Amino acid sequence: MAQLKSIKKWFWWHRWTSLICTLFLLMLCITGLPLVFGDEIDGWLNPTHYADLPKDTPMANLDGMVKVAQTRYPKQLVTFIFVDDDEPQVLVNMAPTWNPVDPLRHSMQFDSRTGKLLNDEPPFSQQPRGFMGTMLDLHSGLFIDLPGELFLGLMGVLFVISIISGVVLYGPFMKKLDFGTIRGDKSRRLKWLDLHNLLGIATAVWLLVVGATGVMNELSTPLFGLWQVTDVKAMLSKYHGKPPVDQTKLSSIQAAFDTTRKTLPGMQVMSLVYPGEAFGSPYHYLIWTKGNTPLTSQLFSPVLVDAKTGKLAAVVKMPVYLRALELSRPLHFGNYGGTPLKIIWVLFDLVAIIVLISGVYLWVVRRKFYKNYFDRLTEAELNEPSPQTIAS
Amino acid sequence: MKQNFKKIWRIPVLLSALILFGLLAALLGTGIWYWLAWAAMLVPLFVICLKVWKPNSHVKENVIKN
Repeated sequence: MAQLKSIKKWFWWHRWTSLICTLFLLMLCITGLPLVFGDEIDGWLNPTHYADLPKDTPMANLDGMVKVAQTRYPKQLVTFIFVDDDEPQVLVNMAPTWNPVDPLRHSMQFDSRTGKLLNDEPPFSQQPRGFMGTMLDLHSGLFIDLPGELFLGLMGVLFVISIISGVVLYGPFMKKLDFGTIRGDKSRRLKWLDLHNLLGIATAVWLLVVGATGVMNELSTPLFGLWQVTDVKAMLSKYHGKPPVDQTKLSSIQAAFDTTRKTLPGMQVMSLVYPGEAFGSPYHYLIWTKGNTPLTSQLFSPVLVDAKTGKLAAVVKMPVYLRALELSRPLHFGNYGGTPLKIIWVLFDLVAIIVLISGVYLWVVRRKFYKNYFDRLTEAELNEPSPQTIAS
Repeated sequence: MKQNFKKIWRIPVLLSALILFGLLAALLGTGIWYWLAWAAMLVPLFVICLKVWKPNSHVKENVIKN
């Protein structure tokens, strides 16, 4: 009887955690489908035509691009520069203030090889969200940013609990069934129950990994905030009380880029954050780099370059929780193993949608059905007092 | 009991191990490891298709009656 009680307890957890999160999980699975191919769809919807240059054309000078940007917007601040590793583009970002949600934040696209301005984009807040933007904002935060992210993170936790409880329930359920049995001829409920169990157990690890890494990704804002008020603050304590560096007195950004490349030869510069920007240092260029091997290209190392003298100040060691966050990204997005892996991601996602829908269906038709199931289990326990093996 | 446990969990554990292998192989390697990862992760999907479209034609006697 003890086992039956424990099954009922697990069943309670499975039912309620799933029910609460199902609607949101369905939304996440559906918006996730196009997001797997987000880069491809984006490139297809908004194609950029780059000049045809040899592949090994060196990068143009960043100082030149910044100068063009500053000439166009002399009263604005450069906030950060993004150096794309996928396409030959450099994005110089500007804003009138350091306010991280300034509605006039905008970006200028340069050809990274010629240094020519390709596109002076309107402020982000005035751009239509677009299809992919809508999908991403809905998927990551229900259009309400941090509160939405934390809420979806909580839904993700419930999802993870429901997967674990589902796996626990799989054992007693399959006691007398062969793997993958689908009793299609008996009743519709049985067929869907068997399908729910087969699809769920066959994809359980993928569901768990994508669910747990999704939760991790939803925590990225608080985790970076935590890093900012602990490690970063400690690192910058010796500058305490000094005035932040004025943007007119900055050392060359190209020199900071070159210094970083020289210090970390195996690393690739991804972005350069100007002093004053949130999640940065008021006295340094914060330069994000990543490695060249499959694993280290997912792990980012920040470098601090003194914004006045241009000297390297520190290669920052990332705390474990941010390393975990970085590894959570590829494992959630499925974008790290070529196009076939993305297709596999979509297929698993479709299976997940069926698991969710069949779960809701099984709840809708529940009452009589589960009463029968538990009656049967009770009967089985009474009839089998001793351990027995199943002839197969 | 032990035998039954083995029978229930053999295939789920195998499929789980293949998925886990695939997830990590593509993360840690390139080239041949990509191919191995793709192949490993397609197995659970293939097994699902097999079971859904070719349900047990010879249902064994130990399937409970409902």
